[in-house]
Amino acid sequence: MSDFPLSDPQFWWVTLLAVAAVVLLIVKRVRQSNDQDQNGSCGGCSTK
Amino acid sequence: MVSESTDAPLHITLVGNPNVGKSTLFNALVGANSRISNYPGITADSVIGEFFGAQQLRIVTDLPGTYSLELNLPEAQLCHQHLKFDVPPQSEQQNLIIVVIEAVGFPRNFQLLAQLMALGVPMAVVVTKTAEAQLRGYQIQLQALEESLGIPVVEAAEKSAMRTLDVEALIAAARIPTPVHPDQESIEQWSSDLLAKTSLPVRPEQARRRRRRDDRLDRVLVHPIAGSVLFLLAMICMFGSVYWMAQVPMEWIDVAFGTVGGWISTSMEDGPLRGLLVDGVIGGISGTMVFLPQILLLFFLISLLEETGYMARAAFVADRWLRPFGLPGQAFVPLLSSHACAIPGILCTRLIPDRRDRLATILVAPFLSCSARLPVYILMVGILAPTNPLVAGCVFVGCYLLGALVAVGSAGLVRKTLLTGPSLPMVLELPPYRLPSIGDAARIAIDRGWTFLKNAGSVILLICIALWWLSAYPTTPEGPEIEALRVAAEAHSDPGESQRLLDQAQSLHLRESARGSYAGQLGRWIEPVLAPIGADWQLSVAILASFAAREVFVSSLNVMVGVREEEAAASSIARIRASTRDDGSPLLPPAAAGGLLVFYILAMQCLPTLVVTSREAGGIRWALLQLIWMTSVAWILGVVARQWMLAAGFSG
Repeated sequence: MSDFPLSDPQFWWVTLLAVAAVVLLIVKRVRQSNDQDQNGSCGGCSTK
Repeated sequence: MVSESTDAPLHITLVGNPNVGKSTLFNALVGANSRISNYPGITADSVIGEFFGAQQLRIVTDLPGTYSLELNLPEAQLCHQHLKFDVPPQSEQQNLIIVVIEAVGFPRNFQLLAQLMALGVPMAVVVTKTAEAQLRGYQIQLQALEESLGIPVVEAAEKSAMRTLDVEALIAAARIPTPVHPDQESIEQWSSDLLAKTSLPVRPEQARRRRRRDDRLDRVLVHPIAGSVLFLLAMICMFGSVYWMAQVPMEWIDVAFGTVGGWISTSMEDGPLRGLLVDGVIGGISGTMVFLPQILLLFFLISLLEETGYMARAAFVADRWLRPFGLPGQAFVPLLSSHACAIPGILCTRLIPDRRDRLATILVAPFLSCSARLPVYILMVGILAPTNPLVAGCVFVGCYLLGALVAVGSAGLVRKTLLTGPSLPMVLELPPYRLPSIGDAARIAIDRGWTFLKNAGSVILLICIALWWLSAYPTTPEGPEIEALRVAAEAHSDPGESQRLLDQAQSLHLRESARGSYAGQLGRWIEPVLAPIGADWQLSVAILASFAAREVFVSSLNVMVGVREEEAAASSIARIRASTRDDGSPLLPPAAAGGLLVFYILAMQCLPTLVVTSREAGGIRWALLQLIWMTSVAWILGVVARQWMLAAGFSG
């Protein structure tokens, strides 16, 4: 039996942060794919 | 002539032969980080940047190198298109062409120079490598060159001199040159006059001695067998010293993050925010930062080697090994670039004229070990060779070699099945040997390290925060076994034994919570597929999290083990090494580390590379072929490596 601590305000804060992280990740990846023709890199590597 | 301050931007185009220093000048002008090197073909497409000067926006276009605008090659056509349509003299925009010519091989620049002078656009010239030309026994007379061309000329004796060039004065003095008559005979006569007026011999005996010394060195370093053996030895020494030298700073970073995590754990009340901060944020950042010393040292030593002129010789040696597998000589630069990142490597393949050669190079480029794999290599090699830097150096070189061998093997297979036909040889001018600049190499290493931290670090941090949530929720209520331990602890009269039982109950609870979380469920679901290469459910989650970006693996693993360990202050590498599986056995025994290392060397875990492959190869089917082939080879060879290590007596 699994559960979420819905009454704990800290749970909501960490959930909000996790959602924000996912959104930022998507935005960053989309921007990176636009930049690849310029100074192309996958984002994890150094291109130089 | 072109520097009057107006609201309209000034469009500056950098043109020149390959490998004359255009990208170095571009980086110096716009403060960008385009890849530069001392071999041609690094800029495969035009790169655009901008900066402000004299209260005016300057838009700079760095074109790929070409010897003429009329060659039937992609880079020449790209330059021709840009100069014909984007910077025509009658256009309303303010244009300026900066021609970068190198003093080494001076007459080679004249054909292009004459073609550019005919465009009727304001021009200026930057002469590079004048110091290198003097080593070769001649000097360029800049004043005579300026007078002959009728446009301003400045010199950049060394690469580092680009940063101090007075570009504003050059822009202000730029003029439209008098064109040379376009027929070939007139251009040849003009070239020969120009050479006679502007190039003078200096210290010829010294230059001859230097050439003889370079020739003697080349006889050994470019030799088919001795050259290959020396290349291998150089790489083993380099990676071994990286391991040896980075140990102490790595420990400092690890301990520093462990201390911060411990301080937060003791200062904050237990709860989800503390867990996210300590295991997600601190764990994520430390999992990236801890590898920085090795990455910096590696980039520093590679830059030193490159500046000595040795890497161009290594290219020659490698070309001999590439061609029997059906890869063309032009594939070497893209494959070498792929050691930094596969994407610029794949973009470089645009300069390979033959479509089959280009496709074969694109398909195998991601096999070459990129810098995002370094954290995984460092962790796994540290487990396989924990005490001996020389063995660690050999294993590290083995990682790079395995990637390269599978790449050329796959290329051979593709060229014999899907893309049949002959390949062209490589033509490359060897630079003279020289003492490298420590300062330049350090600057390049810091630049690359910062790029790694900025780009990879931010993605890793975001993924770690999301992964922490997935590994913390949903929570699992305590089962009867844990309740029984707590009851037994309360009933025990000995406080020491009572505490031991409570710790056992807490540890069991954390393990069950981690197993019941979303990440745990996902890990257990994928575990049967990855178990043959040595992964349990925790490692499976880290592999899955790093599927789109392989640099995430170590930090993800750090978060996974952090969530289920009570001791938050333990340093990240030590924590991963000391972590256990559900049955209490080590999380990463040597055979599993070996299997996973081979998997990571060869697996296609980079979504952006797949996107670029699809675009550059002209269809998603090539990206799918790359994904399926690389993942299958990685899994099969990972299983083989683990089984071989198990048979050799390693635990796993």
